[in-house]
Amino acid sequence: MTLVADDVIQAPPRHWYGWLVSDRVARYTARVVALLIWQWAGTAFEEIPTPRGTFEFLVDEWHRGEIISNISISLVRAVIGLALVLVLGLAIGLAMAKWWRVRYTLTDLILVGITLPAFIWALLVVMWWGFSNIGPIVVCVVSATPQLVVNTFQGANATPGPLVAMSGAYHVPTDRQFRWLVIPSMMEYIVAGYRSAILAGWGAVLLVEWFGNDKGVGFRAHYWYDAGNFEGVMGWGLIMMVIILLFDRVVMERVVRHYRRWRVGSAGWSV
Amino acid sequence: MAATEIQLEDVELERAVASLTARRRRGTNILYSILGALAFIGFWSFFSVFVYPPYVLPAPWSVAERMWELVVSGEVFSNFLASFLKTMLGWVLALGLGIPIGLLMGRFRYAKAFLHDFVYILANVPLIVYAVVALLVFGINPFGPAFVVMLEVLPGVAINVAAGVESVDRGLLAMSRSFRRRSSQTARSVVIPSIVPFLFAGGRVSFANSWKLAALAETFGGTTGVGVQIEKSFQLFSVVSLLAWMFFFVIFVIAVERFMIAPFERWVFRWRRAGGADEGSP
Amino acid sequence: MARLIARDVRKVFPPTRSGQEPVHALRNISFEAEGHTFVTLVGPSGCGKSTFLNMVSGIDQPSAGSLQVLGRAEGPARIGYVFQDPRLLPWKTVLENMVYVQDGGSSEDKAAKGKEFLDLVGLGTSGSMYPGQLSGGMQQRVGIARALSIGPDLLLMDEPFSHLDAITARDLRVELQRLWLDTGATVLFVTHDVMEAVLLSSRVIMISSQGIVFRDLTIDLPFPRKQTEKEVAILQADILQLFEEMERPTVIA
Repeated sequence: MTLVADDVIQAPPRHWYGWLVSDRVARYTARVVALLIWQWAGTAFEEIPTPRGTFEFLVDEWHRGEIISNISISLVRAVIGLALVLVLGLAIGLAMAKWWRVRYTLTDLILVGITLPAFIWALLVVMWWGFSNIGPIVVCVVSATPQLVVNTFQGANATPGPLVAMSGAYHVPTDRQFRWLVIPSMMEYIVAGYRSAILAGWGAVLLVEWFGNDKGVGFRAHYWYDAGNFEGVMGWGLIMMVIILLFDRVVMERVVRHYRRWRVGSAGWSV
Repeated sequence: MAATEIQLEDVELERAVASLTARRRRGTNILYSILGALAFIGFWSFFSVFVYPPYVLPAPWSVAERMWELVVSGEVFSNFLASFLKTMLGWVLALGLGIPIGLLMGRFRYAKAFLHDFVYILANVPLIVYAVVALLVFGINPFGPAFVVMLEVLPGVAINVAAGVESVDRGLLAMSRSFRRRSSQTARSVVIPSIVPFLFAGGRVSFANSWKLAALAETFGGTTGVGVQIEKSFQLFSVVSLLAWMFFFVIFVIAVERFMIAPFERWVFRWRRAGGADEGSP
Repeated sequence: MARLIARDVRKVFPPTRSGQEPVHALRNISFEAEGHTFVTLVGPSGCGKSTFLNMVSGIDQPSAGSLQVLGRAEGPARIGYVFQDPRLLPWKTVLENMVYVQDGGSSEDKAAKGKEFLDLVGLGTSGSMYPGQLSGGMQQRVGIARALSIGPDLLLMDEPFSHLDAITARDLRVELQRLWLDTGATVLFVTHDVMEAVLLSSRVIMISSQGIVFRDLTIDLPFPRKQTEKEVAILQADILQLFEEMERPTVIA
């Protein structure tokens, strides 16, 4: 008996343009269309920069040596901030899950942290520390940590009951239970929380730089805005976007795939 | 749950927050909440009185006084109203655009692939980029914040509506067709009720976020609203005012959540409780 | 081999909400078992059999009465537990799951032991797969191998085959019988399937829906037994009859 190949199961496109409407092509078509719309909007409206203008600007900026230096400064600040977020977020989240007293003492504070927008912190911090590296890092930590705390808390409480009972029945030592059962079961939540945190943290660093700093991607965008150079603003805006999107696609998706590799037979599980 | 590859951090965050605030034990937990709040005020008072000068870190009572001033002068009300209206406008636009997009994405595979990147990018872009773009496009204009809110809420609406469409019970559709209902009737009785829970899942969450975003956009280029007041405080280097507006902000979000959103949700889902059917939220 | 002594064991669950009645899961369980025996607790759903197993394993405590489980040299017994669902850590490989429950010895020893028992249940080559890649029956076999790998004095099994299809369950029953005969452990097995009880056990303890031991039967049929034997069917019918008489109220003549 012959095995049926995968492509027979999905009926192949019946017409030559079937390829044209496939998913992959659809996505590329969308990108091209977006670019065209942008080009049209840029020529039609004065305030909106064109793709070409933006591209030329970025080339000039590169020659001025501003691209690499500013990006690295922003990235360094974000990385330091997010490293702190990881440590603090996990620690606080686990503490809140383990000791209910800690939970109730800190809950309102965490909720306020989630509700308050980063830009308020950004303004405060500029008033307090002026142009410095501290400001961006502090706001990054303050705006991103609550997201991770909340998700870690949820994950720690979601350890599958039956597996805990099984571990108890076999008298598995606590540290092994923690390493093999609790932490892996939490990974989904931790990663979701950290992804949220990274997005918030990167935005926070940029905000602080926009409002009051002398270096960095956010600063550079504001600089060109003040100068009335909209291609500049658009260019740096694109850089802000591209960095986070690249990170998400390249790093985060790999991480997600790695810790989900045990889900081989469970096709119906989507998160 | 229908699989959508675009992860919405907001929805995850909402669920996580819900788990944190769920199942409060009676009695002693309130004690600890109060303890936490008191400790916070205690630290603040200490640092404001003994460590930092008042223009850097004003005391809690100075902030309270300023808050009172703002309430009495009516500034709080008028500014929050302005911001609220812009947020609502943004929401209406997001629904107006997002629902059709979601329907297309759910119904037509091509649409889903075509719009996927668009929605993904919108969902994952830092808020500052939205604000900057709105600033570029609209300048100093009350419409800017509304536009920005629309951009932020749109992906959530689109994705959830798409998920809702994908999850519509095929059996019910077949039944509807076998009784020769017209598609508009089918849409009304079968499709839309299936979508509403999904809509809520996406929508509820984004309120807090969209609110933050409106304020941010106002800071960049607004004429009225909370963000503008906050910007002014910044220009005047008034930490007192900034902190005052900050607290109002939190109070406002909690108040709207408690007094507007929750009852609205209850009203929309009253049929579920009456019928007793447990469809479960997605 | 273990010695199990249960005397007047009761279990009451307090109400979770005000206004509810406390739940009497077990009213009185008393029996003793030791040595190379296969004891099965049979009874209708809800009669408290799984609760009893939880108490034997130490997951739960009796509300009244005494429950003693003694291993060799009269010390605490080593207990292996096989659940209704396999309860494998889904993010660890099959071999890692075997290693998870072992104590003592280096990691190589643990891995070797794990492999040894996987071979015993015919899954020696599946060590590096994830549970999600195995069928339900295979996962349950891993569960059994895991329980045996700690060298248990007492093996507890809570309706281990009830979630499997009839064919896989039948194969696993045969395998279980062979393993029990070879390893000489004491087995405490719980099921609502009377045929299964008759097939596998040397002793059947019938528990009423009130949670009381109402019959303690010894099954004399020689091992190994086959599901198709006539005697198995006869005994099954007898026991079902006894259950019916228990539930039927006394007829007033």
